[in-house]
Parts: sequence; structure tokens; C-alpha cells
Amino acid sequence: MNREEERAIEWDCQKTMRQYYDYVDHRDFDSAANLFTEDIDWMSHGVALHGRKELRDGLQAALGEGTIRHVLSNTVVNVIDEDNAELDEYHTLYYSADQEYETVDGPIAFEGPHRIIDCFAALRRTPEGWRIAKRRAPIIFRHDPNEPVRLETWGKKEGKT
Amino acid sequence: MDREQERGIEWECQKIMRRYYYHVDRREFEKAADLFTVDVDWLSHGVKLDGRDELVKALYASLGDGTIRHVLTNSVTTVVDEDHAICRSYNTLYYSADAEYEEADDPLALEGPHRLLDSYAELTRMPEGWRISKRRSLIVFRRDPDEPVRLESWGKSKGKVPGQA
Repeated sequence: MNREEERAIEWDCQKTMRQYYDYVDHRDFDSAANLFTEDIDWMSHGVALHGRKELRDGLQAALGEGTIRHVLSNTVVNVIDEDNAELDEYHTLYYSADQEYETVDGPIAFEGPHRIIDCFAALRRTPEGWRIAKRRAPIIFRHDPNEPVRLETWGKKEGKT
Repeated sequence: MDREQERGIEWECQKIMRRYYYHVDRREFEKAADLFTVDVDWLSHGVKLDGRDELVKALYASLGDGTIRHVLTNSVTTVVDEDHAICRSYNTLYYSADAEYEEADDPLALEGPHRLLDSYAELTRMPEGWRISKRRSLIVFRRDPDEPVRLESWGKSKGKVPGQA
């Protein structure tokens, strides 16, 4: 593979990640889940999910209410071969557990980022395009470590932690 | 159109968006406005503007004083056809209404981002290159929702806020 082909893969994998967060932050969970492989191996906030169906349920439970924006930066894609790549980036999360941006009258008050996460993703080329096959996301900084977010609460209740 | 051509358009459109904020954050308002179509349809902070001339006036009024940095991330470009594309991004804004970075002796005090916006833009290929023909932005998070920014105050004073009596 030459460098031009690698750059094209780097570009397309970044697009898949950005597209995923555009969908998920705007509550389009079906479109978001379709950007993962059927056998997705997903772990974030201590919650482990396997397969698109579980992931779709987790997204709905975690982000069906409240408001979140995942701000992506520092993306580095390592191309493994023509059909596999790995991606690392930072996520700066802005979050309100209590208000929905679609229905609130005006902007939601905030004091700054809610948490900062190291994100790792393994992507695989499929007939539909590049899809996320594995995801890990440890929280590095957190505004209030004692305040659980919905994903954590749901994961414990469902035995997914 | 093949994927390689699409990637080329995605790159060019993202570059236009970044270039716009480079100019606007440095008060190069004419250069910033030249990245829009002459008949741009622009709505941000509740302020509706039509055309480049109105846009330049608003940029001077809202960003001629103070200091702003638009940190543009998460850009996803959807290619509609060879001459049209849509770009969605997030804009994290750092802002001071009271101090100009060109004249300050020291860095401006910072408590964190001032607001976070969902940004939407439609771009059209023109003879001079890709240009922004429509722009919408929604403030999702805001440090102090009760404190107006200059664009809002100017828009109200000029009757540019739709639905306002």
C-alpha cells in the first residue's frame, strides 16, 4: 500500500468517527449503531457491550435524555492493512443530565467540560464502508467524579459492568 | 462521482470553513465575507442576515471589539453532488467582550469555553472556489445564558432578529 492509499483510509476512518458522534449527539441512535460492525466489542465508562443490538440499547438508555456533545481532537489513525485500522483521539465532553437541547428555551448553562476521555477504536472495512469493530474509552479527567452519568447507572442495573 | 473525488470536495469544504474562522477571529472581515456567496443566507445567535454586505456589517459590529476564538471540530462533510455539499461541525467559542488580544500586554483571563454551538453550512462550488451559501448555528451550551453577546445586541437594534417585535 502506498502513502496515498493510507491517507485515504485515514480520512475515511476519521469521517466514520465524526459521523458517529454527529448521530449520537443528535439522538439518531439507529444510524449511529450502523457505523459499528455487527460483532462490535465496546467498553466505555466501565460498561461492556457486545453487538449492535446491545449497543443500540445502551445508547438509548445513556443518551436518550439530557444533552451531550463529544468534541473530538488529536485524532491519529494507524493503518494496519487495507482492511484494518486503529484510531486514537481525545474526547472533550460537554454534558447536562437534566436538560434536552431540543426542548429547552435557549442554551443550557455550563461551566466547562464535564470529562475528558482517551478514545481508542479499531475499524474494519466492510462492504458498507469503514465500521468500528472495537472501542475503548477510559475517562482521564472528570468534573465531579462522584456524580454518576446515565450510562454508568444503566450499566450497573443491567449487569454490564 | 467516485470516492476519491468526494474526498477532494470534503477536504476543500473543510478548508473553507477553517479559513473563514481564521479570518474572522483576526478581524479580516472582508476576506471572511469573500468566502460566502454574494446572496448568503445566514442565521446565528437568532440574527438573520442576507447577503455579503449585511454580513460584513454584522461582523464589524459583533467582533470589531473584544476577542474571540472559534475552535472548529468534528467536521463531517456530506457531498450532495459535484457542486454542492453540506458541512456539520461543532464550534467551541472562547470569548472576551472587554479586551482585544492585539493590545493586551498579557494573555486574556480565561475561565473556560464561553459557548458551544452546533454549526451547519451549505457550500456551493463557484468559479472562484467553494463558497458558503447558507449557514445556521445553534447555541447548545452557554456559560451565562443571560449575558448577551454583541451580535445579539446589534441584531436586536437593527431589527435582524426574526419574530422579535
